[in-house]
Amino acid sequence: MACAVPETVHEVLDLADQFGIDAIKKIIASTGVERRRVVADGCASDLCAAAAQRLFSDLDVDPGSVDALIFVSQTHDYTLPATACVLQERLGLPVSAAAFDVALGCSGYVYGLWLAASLLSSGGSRRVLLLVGDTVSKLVAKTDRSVAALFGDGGSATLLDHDESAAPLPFVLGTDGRGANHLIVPGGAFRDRQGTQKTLDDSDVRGRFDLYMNGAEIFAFTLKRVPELVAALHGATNTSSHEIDKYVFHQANRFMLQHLAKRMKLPVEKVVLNVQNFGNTSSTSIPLAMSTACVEQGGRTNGCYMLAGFGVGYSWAGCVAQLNDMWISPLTIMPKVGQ
Amino acid sequence: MTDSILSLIEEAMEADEGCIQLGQPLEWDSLAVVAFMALVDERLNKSLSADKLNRCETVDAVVELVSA
Repeated sequence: MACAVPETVHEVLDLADQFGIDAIKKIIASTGVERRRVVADGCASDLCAAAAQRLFSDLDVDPGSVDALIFVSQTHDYTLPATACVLQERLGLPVSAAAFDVALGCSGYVYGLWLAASLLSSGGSRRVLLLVGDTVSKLVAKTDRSVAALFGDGGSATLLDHDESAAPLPFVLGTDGRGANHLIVPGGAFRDRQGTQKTLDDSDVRGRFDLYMNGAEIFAFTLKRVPELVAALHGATNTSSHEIDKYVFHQANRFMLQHLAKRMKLPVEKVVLNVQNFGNTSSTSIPLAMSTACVEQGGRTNGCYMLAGFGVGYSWAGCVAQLNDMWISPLTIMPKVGQ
Repeated sequence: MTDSILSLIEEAMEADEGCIQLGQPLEWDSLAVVAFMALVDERLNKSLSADKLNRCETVDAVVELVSA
């Protein structure tokens, strides 16, 4: 696995001029986000491509050996074609490779693993390149205090090979579309292409092309679903917190993760937290947390990991992975993203 | 029960003790709303409806919602 983030750092404290120092300090104290990496003009695909190239280089992998590419993102390059097709050519993958996009956010990394594992176990593929990334900072209205200080950008690449001796990789997945309106960019697609329909609320801090987040509803959703998801994964794998070495949850914000950990009585030292320097990076947050908090400056990692993504959709997915010498590349800091 | 709910509202809003009373309108930001939901979940073992809580405009309405 490899991850890439943009070079540009935005300090949350710099938003004090706009929202007031007291409000910003309160936001930092709650979310735990002190700074974020944001792209200037680049895309999630640029970050994912940089991560993939780093991974190919570190592991001496021939791109020609990849027979399936999955690109998971909610910030793709174009309305059409699929970004996966663009990435196939860009990364030098063979024309015989299958390539497709998946439009999921917070749950997207684990969904991507599930798809990749399904392809490998069915014999449909021998080597899958899973690219997961988002540039949610481009969807955030600078005047919207509820999200302006929260989201960062990032991309990841995970290479999965067919291995008869691989340990089982159990998944639990779920969906509840009743939450669709609580985390949404309502305009710009085909329901409201021109962004002319009525706004979701009376707020004038964001437009139809900007991200709207109802924090209270999202929190209520996580309080209900995440403990159930974790319990289901423990049940499916006959494990407890004693057997799990690391819990890597979607890095929504510090307050939420700490509350969930306390409520589920998880050992705090096993719950990975890396929002401080990167913010909420949507689909990228789980691999980014693994690459920055589980190894230092790259290396191999072992152990029993529970991964769980949850959020926009609502959609959630979790798995328990037994990692054996899994390679994690040093974090790539990408200058001049998009050029 | 009412006193403990008032105390949780104060804690969520980071307000001074005793400054939240019945009969007051309630103006809290989204961070305070989420903090209150977490406190009620943790201390009272209750899950609040975010929609109902978002619609509460007075301290009395919040007390009624949590007490229900």
